Amino acid sequence: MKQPVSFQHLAPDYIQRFEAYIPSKPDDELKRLFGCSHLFRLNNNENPLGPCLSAARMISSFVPSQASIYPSGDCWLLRQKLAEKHGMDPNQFLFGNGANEVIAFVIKAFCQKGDNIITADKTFAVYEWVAEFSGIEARRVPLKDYGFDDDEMIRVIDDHTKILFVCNPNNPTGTYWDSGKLRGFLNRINGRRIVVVDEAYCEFVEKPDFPDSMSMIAEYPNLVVFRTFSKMHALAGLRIGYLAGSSEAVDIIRRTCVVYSVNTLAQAAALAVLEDNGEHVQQTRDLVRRQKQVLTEYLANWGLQFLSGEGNFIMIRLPMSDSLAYRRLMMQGVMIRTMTGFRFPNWIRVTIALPDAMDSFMTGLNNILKT
Amino acid sequence: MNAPVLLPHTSIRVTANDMFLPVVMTFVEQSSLALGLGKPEALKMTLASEELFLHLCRVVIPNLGMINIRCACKGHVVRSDFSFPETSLNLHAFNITASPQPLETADMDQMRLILASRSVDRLKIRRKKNLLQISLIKEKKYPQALDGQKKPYPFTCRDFAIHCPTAEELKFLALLIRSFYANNKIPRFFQYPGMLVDMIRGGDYHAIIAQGPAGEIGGGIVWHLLSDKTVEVIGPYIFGDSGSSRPVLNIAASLIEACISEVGRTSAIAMICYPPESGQYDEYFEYLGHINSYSTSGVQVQRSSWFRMIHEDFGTVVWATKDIEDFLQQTYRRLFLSRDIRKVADDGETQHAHSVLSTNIDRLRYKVSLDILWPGADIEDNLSRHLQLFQKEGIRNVIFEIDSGIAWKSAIIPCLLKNGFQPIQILPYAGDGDVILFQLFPCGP
Ligand SMILES: Cc1ncc(COP(=O)(O)O)c(C=O)c1O
Repeated sequence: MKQPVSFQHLAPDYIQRFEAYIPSKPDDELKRLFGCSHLFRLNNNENPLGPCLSAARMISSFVPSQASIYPSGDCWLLRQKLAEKHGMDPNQFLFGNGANEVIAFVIKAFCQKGDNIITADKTFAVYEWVAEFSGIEARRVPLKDYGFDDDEMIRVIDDHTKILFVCNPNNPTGTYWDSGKLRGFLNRINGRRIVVVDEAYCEFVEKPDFPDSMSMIAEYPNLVVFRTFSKMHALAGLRIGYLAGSSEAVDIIRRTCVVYSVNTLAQAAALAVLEDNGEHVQQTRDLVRRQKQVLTEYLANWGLQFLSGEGNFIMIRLPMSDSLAYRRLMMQGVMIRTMTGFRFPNWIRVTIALPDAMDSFMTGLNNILKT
Repeated sequence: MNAPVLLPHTSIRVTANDMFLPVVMTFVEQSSLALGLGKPEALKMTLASEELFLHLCRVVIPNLGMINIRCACKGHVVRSDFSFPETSLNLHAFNITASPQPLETADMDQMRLILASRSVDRLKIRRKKNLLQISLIKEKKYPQALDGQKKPYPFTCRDFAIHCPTAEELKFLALLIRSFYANNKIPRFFQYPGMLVDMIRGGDYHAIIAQGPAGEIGGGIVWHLLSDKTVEVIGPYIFGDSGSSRPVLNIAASLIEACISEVGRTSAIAMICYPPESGQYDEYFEYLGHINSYSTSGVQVQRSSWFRMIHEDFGTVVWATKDIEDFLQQTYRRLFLSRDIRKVADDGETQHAHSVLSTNIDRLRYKVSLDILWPGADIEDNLSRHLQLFQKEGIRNVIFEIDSGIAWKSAIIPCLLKNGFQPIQILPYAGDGDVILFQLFPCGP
């Protein structure tokens, strides 16, 4: 007979309080549900061009027999490659199953009960989620002019603050801290806390004053940089991301890292990306630039407020509930991200994609704005 | 906002046997007093517990099962929860109308649940995991606000910021709401400032205000978790000059946005609101419809409901019988909600003999909401017994809530229609799935 188990009794308070994230259903299921024949996913900031040619070749030449062998437990070749590229030591890099996993490594490495982390109220939510379901307080500092507020972040630091997370450029507002501002912030922190700079979208930034954070690690051993292969490099489905920091910081973080969590195919494809000639990055930037131009003109015509900063996405403020807009766009085969969960009620975030998808989005938006 | 608050409470465990009646009564009385009820309210709670306990011993749990009794204070109310395992119950007797005799000839004294409900503000029957729970809920008594003749000045500042109010600010908020809004447009608790303060302190209710540079209050909004997944928004209330509508609209929008942002990262899936004024909310909420209800004096009150989802909707299954298919199709089309409507039908399978209805009597609003806890072959008789009883009790507003995410609940829809209920509204995600509200007609005087 099945034994009754009191799960409430077993789970800590902060877990009972935490609400699990519900990912979207598979495309076919959604198409059936919303009665649409096609579906453009403009919700996850993926790259519609797909991975670069060399990574694509690597993926299609994957030999099934390799699947039975464990991958390199610490992404050895990738770390060599990154070290060579940035003039750093391979021990300064740590890979994870997407950048999401390295967020958890860092929090686990530095925080214990009673500690806190600081981030913004309207930014990528995983920093605060991982903290909260680990029993660590997340302090959320309101954005200022849609950007991270350095003064206020410093003001809310206390003796128990261990990590400050800065999303640069910020998802979803597209604002960024330039070199001067990041440097100023690191100087004021003065090595007393870990500063994480999440650069998931840095490859999309073309601004010359965007910080070269990798080179700043030598000067600031408390600086930890996140990167991912999910966005620009279009390997989101393979789940691979990494962090970089001083050898001393990474040496601590490595203790909480789960080895073998990055699979063989992801490692091979990411290696091909690092060896690529950069043409794919350029093509993607061109596409994003052009399509942002088209979309922002369209939005200006409708008189809609929008934020078009760095990154392959735009935020739009609608004169209706974002969740209603989501449903009405889904019925027309376009999936966007609602922003209520990011504390931006009535805003949506749209990934910049190929012209057919953007046209579909604009037509869909026309239809819902007209009625 | 969803941190579990450890409530001050007391509890005992007794065998369902009359001989413990004095123990139970003393326990409930003393607990109620200690938890903050005044003497008269504590006595009423004790009276209700007496009826309930006797009913449980004599009819519901005849074979000396165990009953847990827990008294707790949550903000402005004290509740006594009687819970017991659902096995070995006399199911039939669990209905509020349970009586050994047909209703026409029944001695009201035998209907102890109904008696119990008369001395408290709310009586709720719930099925929770493998437990059944009957809750008696009594509000603490608060002095009603005595307002002077002088109406506070309208808010004229251009600048304002959103804050959580202190207790004093909450009381002032209540005063402003009473001054700027008609009595029948605002919930009762604004007449009792102390109650409002306790509700917010209790942790279930939340409030924010818009404040000018010198602390002037320009508006406020209150919300609370209505069910596991739904938040009810009360307000926003705005105290501007009717001539200068621009800042007023800004305040309303800022309050709504701040409230939505707060709720946005909680477990809630949907928000429902009954705004005090029409016209300002379509930017944030979607219109669900309205419900007419009647006060004892026969005055009709119309309440419109609006909702919004907090997250992206991935659709859900709706179980229903074909009688209401048109209503569902039309409503879902209007709301742009994608639903998998699946049919339930009575295919003659064997049923339990007795159905059980859960009754949520709100004496303060002359309102009762019904829900079905167990399906059974006698549902039709059972329902009409309930309806006769409510008529006798002078309760005019009867709503049946069907959680369309649970197939066997929807199976009783034909019986509702036959007894004068009509589908009037859908509350998205208010239960396991969408809750379909059926109202009993005619409900007027
Ligand atoms: C700012 C930011 N950081 C990290 C991630 C996670 O990336 P990954 O796919 O590598 O887990 C995302 C993905 O949406 C992101 O937007």
